[in-house]
Formats: sequence, structure tokens, C-alpha cells
Amino acid sequence: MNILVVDDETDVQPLFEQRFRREIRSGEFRFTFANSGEQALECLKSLSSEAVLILSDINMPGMSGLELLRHIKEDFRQPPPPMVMMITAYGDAENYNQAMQLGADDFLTKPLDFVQLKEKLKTLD
Amino acid sequence: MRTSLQRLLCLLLILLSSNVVAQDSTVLALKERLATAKTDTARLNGLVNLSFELRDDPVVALQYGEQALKLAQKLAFKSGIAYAQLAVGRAYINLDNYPQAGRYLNEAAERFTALNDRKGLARTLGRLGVVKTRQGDYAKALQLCQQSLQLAQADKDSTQIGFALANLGGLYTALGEYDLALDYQTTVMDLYDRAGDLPSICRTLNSLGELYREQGDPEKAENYYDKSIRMAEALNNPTLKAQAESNLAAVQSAQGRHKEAIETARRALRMLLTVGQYEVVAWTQAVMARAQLGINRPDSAVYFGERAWNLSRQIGNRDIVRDASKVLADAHAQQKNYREAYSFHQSYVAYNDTLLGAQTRQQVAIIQQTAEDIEKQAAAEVEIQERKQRSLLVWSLIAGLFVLSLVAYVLYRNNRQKQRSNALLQQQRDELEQQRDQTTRALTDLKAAQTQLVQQEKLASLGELTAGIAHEIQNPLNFVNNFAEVSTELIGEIKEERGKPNDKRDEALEAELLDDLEQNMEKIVHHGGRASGIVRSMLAHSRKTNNQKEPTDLNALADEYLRLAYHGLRAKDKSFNCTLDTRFAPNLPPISAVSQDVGRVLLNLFNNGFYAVQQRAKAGEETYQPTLSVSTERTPAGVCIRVRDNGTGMPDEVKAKIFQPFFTTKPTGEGTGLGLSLAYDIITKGHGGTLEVTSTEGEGTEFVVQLPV
Repeated sequence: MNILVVDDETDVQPLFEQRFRREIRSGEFRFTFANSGEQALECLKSLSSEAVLILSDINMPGMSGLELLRHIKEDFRQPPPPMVMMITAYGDAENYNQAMQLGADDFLTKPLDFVQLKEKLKTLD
Repeated sequence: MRTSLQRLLCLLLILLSSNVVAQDSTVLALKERLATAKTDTARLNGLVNLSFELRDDPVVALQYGEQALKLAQKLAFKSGIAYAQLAVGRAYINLDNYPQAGRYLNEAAERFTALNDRKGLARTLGRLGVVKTRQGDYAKALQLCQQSLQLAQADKDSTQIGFALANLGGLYTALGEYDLALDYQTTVMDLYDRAGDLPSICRTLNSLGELYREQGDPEKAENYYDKSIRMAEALNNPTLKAQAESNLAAVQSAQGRHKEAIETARRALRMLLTVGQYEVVAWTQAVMARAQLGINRPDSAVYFGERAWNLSRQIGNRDIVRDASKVLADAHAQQKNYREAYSFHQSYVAYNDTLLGAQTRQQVAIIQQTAEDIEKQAAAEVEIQERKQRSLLVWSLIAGLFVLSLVAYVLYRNNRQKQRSNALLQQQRDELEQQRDQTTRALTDLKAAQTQLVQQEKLASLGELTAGIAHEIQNPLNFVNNFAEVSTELIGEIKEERGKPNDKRDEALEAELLDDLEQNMEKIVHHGGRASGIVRSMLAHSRKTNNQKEPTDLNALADEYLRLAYHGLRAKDKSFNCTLDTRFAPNLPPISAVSQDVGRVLLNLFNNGFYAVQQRAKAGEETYQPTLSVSTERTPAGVCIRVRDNGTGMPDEVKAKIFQPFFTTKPTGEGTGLGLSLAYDIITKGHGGTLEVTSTEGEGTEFVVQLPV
């Protein structure tokens, strides 16, 4: 399963790679990383058919996660439409509602519970 | 005087006939008017005027006067009674009835006084003076004549002035004051000359003759008598002529020209007896007696002497009684009739004593009165002078006092003013000192308040930052935690691999795990340091500025505070969202700055931008995307950072005030109003830069900070 992780924090990449090193090694998950919403859209265009799940931070400089979500929902409609999970440090109702309204498939809060995330991803798989 | 007299005589000759006609015609006209008078008043006036006009016919004058008095009494006309009494009194004088004259004139004087009729009173007093003169009471006469003169002068009654002066002249003659008498008579003569009053001039000439006769200058006396007689003849006035002739006879007799004297006296007596001038008659008879004796005809002398003696006793003229007594004594002696002679001599001595005594007494009285008058006048003058001096002194004193008080006042006022100005100055100085103290205190207080406010502002922004800081710390802490957890897992895996038999061990995996582990350690250190940095900067922000300028990376500073501001706002309002558009110029030179201060400025600008977009977002525009753009660039002078929002913008009136202390558009309690004011001070005063703002209402605001390198 192809997973695109979008976060302005670059250290998210080594963290995910280590957390999911068994799954990566086994080839169960394949991770791609983007540092901004704009970069994420570029990635999606290049690996459109492969992208299955997008994990995006909401608060980023430039294009925000919610904006990215709207773009994805509007621009990438061909089947299968990618799943989008929003991750934020601010787990408030407003953000949650807005994300859900825009068609987010899930809403996760920081700090990320990787055990829980693994389970969610495995059920999707 | 001689020339004036000659002129008068010439005038007299010209006027002669007409004047006689005029006098007669005046009386005739008066009589005619009296006959045709319709009212009692007119009739009364006519009677009085006729009585006055007929002065040389006293018997008729008395008749008219008595008629007038009866009429006035019947009419109860007070003024009329007074004038009638005056007329009657005057007639009695001319009839030589002095007691009667005195009675009427005194009554008239009382009435005139009561009526306040000065003219009438002057005339009455003048006549009373004549009465007293004839009675030999010269002191009283003098007083009366002077009173009459004063009244006449006050009234400017020239006729009466002349009359009074003539009387005074006669009086002084009788008193032997010939120089004074001459002065008066000369004055009178001038007066009558100016008035053209010929009968009065005639009488005055006679008076002058009397003056010189009494003085013992028979030639001059005769000269004046002659002039008077000729004038009386010209005026056709036999009475005046007779009066002058009687006197002339006396002079002729005294000069030894007895026969001439007898002739003259005879002419006079003939006339005088017809007009009833008994005093003059008596006087002339005495003169005649003396003349008769001179030509040795003692029996004729006794005849005239006895007639004179009897008549003069009857009239009460003691002068004539005395003279007659002397003549009779001498005449009887010549006839060797010694008994009679002795008797008349005794009479002569007695009258002479009386007269001399009386004269002496009168002279003494007059001298006393004159002395008193002079004294009084002198005293009055002295008093006037003294009063003048006194008033002068008083005025000088008053003036001096005034000047003194003026000077004193001016000095006092100056002093007062000076004192007042001094007091005012003192007061002003005190006030100034007080104000200065107050100002100093206020300044101190203000400084304290400012420090406190700045601290509050710092704390407030710190409060705003807390959430952001917490969030910012959260991220590195997450990494620290996660990398630490993963590292533990990695160590477990490494141990697991090393527990396998050597042939089954994956050396490459072990090396990879160890590399990861090493990398994780680095990440933990990095993110731990990041968290420490945030805490450090948070502390630095709230700490007092030490004003130490250090080379500062503006891009890093802007980035750091932008995050802090954004997350701080997010922490308070989780719904807030804003696109952050950062365009930091690469290779920006470090600037010399107090990073905490500049950071605070940026924080403030960011917060304002976020607030502005938040406000606009709340308005509910559908397509509105809140955006905050932060860009840095290199400028010729240094660096520039632009903070631009697409928020509500602000009107010019707000824009004009935003750098003022305590100005805020935020609701009460939300802003201190010091943020931008402090920011402005930090940039301009603290760093020599500029802080400018451009704004369009409804579109957004841009702050531009220029800082020198």
C-alpha cells in the first residue's frame, strides 16, 4: 500500500521509516514524504494510480492540510479515490468538522500513537 | 476845577432860558398829570413827585406830601406811605423843622427797611443825615450819610450818591476837616458836572464858599459865593441865590465891608422871608446884626440880633443862638446897657461852652469812630490778609500734603506692586517648584508605570505565546519521545540479532540498525535542543532587555516568531486558520539587533495581522482565505521585512493613531494598546530603522520594517 505522508517537519520521515521498518522491509507499506501541500500535490500527480492513503498534517506554512484535502477531493476523483487522514496537534471540533466536511476519511491527533495507526492501516489493507 | 467851572458857566448861559422854562414846565406837567390822574396810585405818585420837585417851596411841598401820606394811608399802600413820609420829612427839613423831619424820616426808614427798598432807604438816611447835621449831631450824621452813600453806591443811584457826598463834604467842613471836605465837594462837583445837574452845582459852589469861609480864606469864599449867586440868577432860583448871598454877607462883614454886607444881607433876607427858609433867615439876621454893629449902629444890631436870637432859639439852631448872643452882648455893651450885655454874654458863654463841648465831644466821637472804623477796616484787611495767608498756607499745606500723599501713594503703590510682584514671583516660583516636583514625581511614576506596562505588554504577549510555545515544544518533544521509543525497539532488535548463532546473524542488518540508532540519538539531541531553544527564547522574551546588540539572522527570527504567534493564536482559537506565505530572501546579511526586541516587534506585527484576518473571517465571506505574508529582502541600506495581511484593513483615522500609546481597536481587556507604540520605539529609537504602515480598508494592511545592517 502506498502511503503519502505530508508534514512540514522533515524528521517525520526518519520517524515513520523506523516505526514502520518491518512493514517497509516486508514491502507491506511503501512511504512517500512531502514537506508541504504543494509538494504533496506534485507527488500525487506523479504516482496517481498508486496512491492509496494520504496522511497529512493540517498546520503547515503555505498550503494548509485542509486546503490540500479540498484539492485532493476535487482533483483526484478517478477510482479509486485516495483515502485522506488528517493529523493535527489541535484536535478541536472546528478543525475536525471542517476536515470531515471536506471529505477526510479519518482525523488523528498528535502526538501520534503509532500502534493505533498501524492497526488502522492494517484494517484498511 | 476852575476850567470845569468856566465850562459849566458857559454851558449855563446857553441853557439859561430853556432851563428855567424846563423847571417850571416840569412842575406844570406834574400838576397837569395829577389833575388828570384816574387811579389813586397815579394820584399818589403825582403828589409825591410834586412834593419832591418843589424843594425850594417847602410849604407847598409839605402840603403835597401830607396829601400823599393821607392817600397812601387810606390805600394802606406800604411803599406809598414810606415815600410820602420821605416827602413830608424832606419838606420839614426845608422848613427847618428838624424834630418833625426826624420823626417822619425815621418812620420812612423803618418802612423802607421792612420793604427792602434800598433806593428809598438811601434817600431817607441821607435826609436823616441832613437833619442830624443841622441839629449838630455830627457823629450820628456822619454815620447816616455814610450808610446812605453805601446804599446809593450799591444801587448805582447817582443822584443820591451826589447828595450823600455833598452832605459828607458839608459835615467835614463843619468839623474843620477841610482837606477831606474839599475832596468830597470836588467829587460831587464832577458828578453833577457829568449829570448836568445845574441847581446841585449851584448848591455845591455855595458849599465850597462855606468851606473856604470856615477855613479862613474869605477871598476864595467870596469867589465861590459870587459864582453860586450868578448861577442861581441864571437858573432863576431866588432861594439858592439868597442862600449864597447870606453867606456872602457874612464874608463881606468879616472883611470889614459892612455896608456891602448889609446890602447883600438885605437882598437875601427879602427873598428868604418869602420862601420861609427860617434858619437861613436867622443866620442872615445874625450876619446883619454883626454888620450893623460894624457901622456903629448898635440899635439896628440889637434889632436884627434879637430877631436872630428868637428865631434861632425857636428853630433850635444853637450856632446861630450863640452868634446872636455875642452880637447882642456887644451891641448892648456899646449902648452901655450892661445888664443886657452881661445877660447875652452869659448866654453866649453858655452856648459857646455847649457848642464847643459838643463840638469837642463830637470830634472825639468822630475821631473815635473814625479810629474804630479804620481799626475795623484794618482789622478786616488784616483778617482778609490773614485769611488769605491762612488759606494760602492751608492751600499750600493741602497742596504739600497732596503732593506728599501722592508721592507716598506712588511709593506705597510701587512698594505694594513690588511686594505683590515679589509675592507673585514667589508664588509662581513655589508653584513652579511644586509643579516641577509634581512633574518629576509624575515622570517617576510614569517611568515606573511605563516599565510596568512594558513588562505587562511583554507578559501579555508572553501569555499569547504560551500556547504557541507549548505547541512548539510539543513537536520536538514528540520527536524526542518517538525516537527514544524507536531506539529502544532498535536496541531490542540488535540484541535479538546478536543472540542468534553466528551463521544466522545478519551483519548488514545489525549495522543498519546501529546506524539508525545513531541517527535517532542525533534526532533526540536535535529535538531536545530545539525544545530547549524555545524555552530559552521564551525566557528571553520575558526577561528585561539588556540592550545588547548581536548579529541576528532576521529570517530565522521572523520564522520563529511567526510560528509562535500563529500557534499562540491557534491555541486560543482552535478554529483559526490562516495561510502563511513566507518569502525569506536567501543570503540575507545578519543585522546588528537586540533579537528579543526585534522579535517582539515581529510578534506584534504578526499578531495584528492574524487578528485582522480573523476579524474579516468572522464576517463570513464565502471565498475568503485568510493569508499572512511575511517577506524579507535586501535593501541598499540594510534589510527590510514586510508583514502583509488580507484582513479588515483600517480607515485613515485609525491608521493615524496606531503608533500612539494606549491606542487599541481591540475590545477592552484584550490589548494593552502599547504593542505598536513600543514596536515603533524599538525600530526607530532602538535600531535607527523605520516602521511604516499602508492600509486599505476591507483589503488589508502592510507593515514595512527597514533596519540598517
